[in-house]
Amino acid sequence: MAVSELIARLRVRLDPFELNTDITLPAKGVSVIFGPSGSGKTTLLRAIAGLQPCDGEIWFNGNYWQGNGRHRKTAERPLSYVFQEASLFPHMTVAENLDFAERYTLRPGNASKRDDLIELFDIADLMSRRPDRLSGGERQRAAIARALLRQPDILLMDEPLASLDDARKHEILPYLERLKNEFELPIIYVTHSAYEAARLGDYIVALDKGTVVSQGELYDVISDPKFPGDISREAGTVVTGIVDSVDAQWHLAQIRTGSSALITVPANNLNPGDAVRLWIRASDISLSHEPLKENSISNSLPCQIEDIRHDPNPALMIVKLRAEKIELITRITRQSASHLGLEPQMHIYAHIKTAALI
Amino acid sequence: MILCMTDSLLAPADIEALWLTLKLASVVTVLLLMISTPLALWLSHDNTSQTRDRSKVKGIVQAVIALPLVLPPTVLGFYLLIAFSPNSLVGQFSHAIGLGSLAFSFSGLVIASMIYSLPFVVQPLVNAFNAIGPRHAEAAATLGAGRWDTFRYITLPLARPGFITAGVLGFAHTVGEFGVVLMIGGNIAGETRVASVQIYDHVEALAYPQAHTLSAILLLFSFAVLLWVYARRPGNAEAKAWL
Repeated sequence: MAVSELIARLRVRLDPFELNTDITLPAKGVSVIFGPSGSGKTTLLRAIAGLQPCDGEIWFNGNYWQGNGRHRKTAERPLSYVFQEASLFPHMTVAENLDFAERYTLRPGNASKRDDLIELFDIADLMSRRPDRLSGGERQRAAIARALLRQPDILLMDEPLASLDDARKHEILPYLERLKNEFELPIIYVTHSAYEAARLGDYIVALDKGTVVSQGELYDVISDPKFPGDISREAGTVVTGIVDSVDAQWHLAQIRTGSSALITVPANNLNPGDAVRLWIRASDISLSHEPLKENSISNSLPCQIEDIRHDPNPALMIVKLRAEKIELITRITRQSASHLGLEPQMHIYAHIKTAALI
Repeated sequence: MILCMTDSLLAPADIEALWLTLKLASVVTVLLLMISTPLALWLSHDNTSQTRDRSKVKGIVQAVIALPLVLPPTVLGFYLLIAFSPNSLVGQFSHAIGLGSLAFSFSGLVIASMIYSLPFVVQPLVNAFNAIGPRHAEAAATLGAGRWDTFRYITLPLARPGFITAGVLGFAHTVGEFGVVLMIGGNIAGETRVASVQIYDHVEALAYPQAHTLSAILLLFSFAVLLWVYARRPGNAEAKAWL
């Protein structure tokens, strides 16, 4: 059984510096390559895809992609690639773009895939249109569907949201979440956005000036002081749940999650039984020893502390909590951690200020 | 309609010259498009990952291709005449592959015209490939398409306006050729006497009405071609700028 990972030990001479990496990414979940613009992260992704000549070696699941004097061409690597600007072929309709990808599918005979993808990415109405008649978000959805139609072993995404405005970004993010959760497809996702990294990433590689400055699981990385940017400020947790009841008078919905306590969120157009996903930021959770009753915060979950770490910001601590079947991450001040006398295994109440439906 | 009007004025020799011109221009255009496509692809390939040496080679190649634009046709014709002589390497090679002597032959005319019209075909193609950029070919490669499929399904359709411009310019420029033909083709009826040479003969013989007719046909043809290139589409600015 081949080892399920991607190894990239490579060097590329860039203008002001050299990209020099030795990384091992798990070939499952979303690995985020995170760094400021000009840090070499896109070059790294292009080198992995074989689009950028480089020295060194690249292994995927025990197979050489490059190394020992061998070099597999891009078309011969079982990958797909989503570019920053959607790169649909301009002389083809969306349907023809999908046909093109289907022609080279790595798993022929899996025909139902096409309809599933069209439905998943909501592109049924766009099929006969050409790319110049699509919005930026529609184009990117079609491009992701096209990439998946190849049925690759790994999907590379180069800042797929960077060319979109904020509204469009939030239009696409839920599709990326679905992609992450519904496909057992490893993804390497390049971004300079701490928010995207925190929301989508399982494994994070931080790159600066061509060098890896920090890498590890998301939770390890957010407490790493070497980590650049604001990733710990953007940290949070995605929680899945089912709508239990809807309060039409106050436009609130109660969500049943893996914890027996219900989480209340502002909600329009939800019905009991709907499956929903919540994004809970670490900084939107506070802790206390007692459930709060008379408080603007109405969501109190009984939790157990799993782990406590220092935040890169010396005034703050990061606390990992478990509330029955769900995990939460919270950032609180060191002062309150000290007042509360927090210890691992301690039972405590987490109060969720806001939880966003995603 | 022009042909009907001028039919009575065109001698069989004139029609033969026009026919030969069309044949020459067609053969040259087809061969040039085949040769220029890989050449233009190589020249247009994005330079970011290339070494300096390689872009130097490209500069030399581009300068050689552009030479016919500035050289007097007599210079080109003179060197070709020497190259086509039976003692030269080229002459020996053409004998060896059964083409016979290239000087004063239709084959020789084709080769000379290809060199002469090469920049008019290569440059629009280079412009077209540059305008497309590497991104679509990269996207095709990441979807698993090989080089040939990428060219056939992506590059070729996207570069179609460039191919049309290149073909039309190559054809029209070959029709308009005179000096090189005279130097290496001479004036053999049905073999190397193209329309431009026929006009020259008419003028030398003071046969002005016949010269008028043939000249008018070439004038109208050239104008029609240029009008079509310029008026066709606003997006064709690059080819026009180069023209």
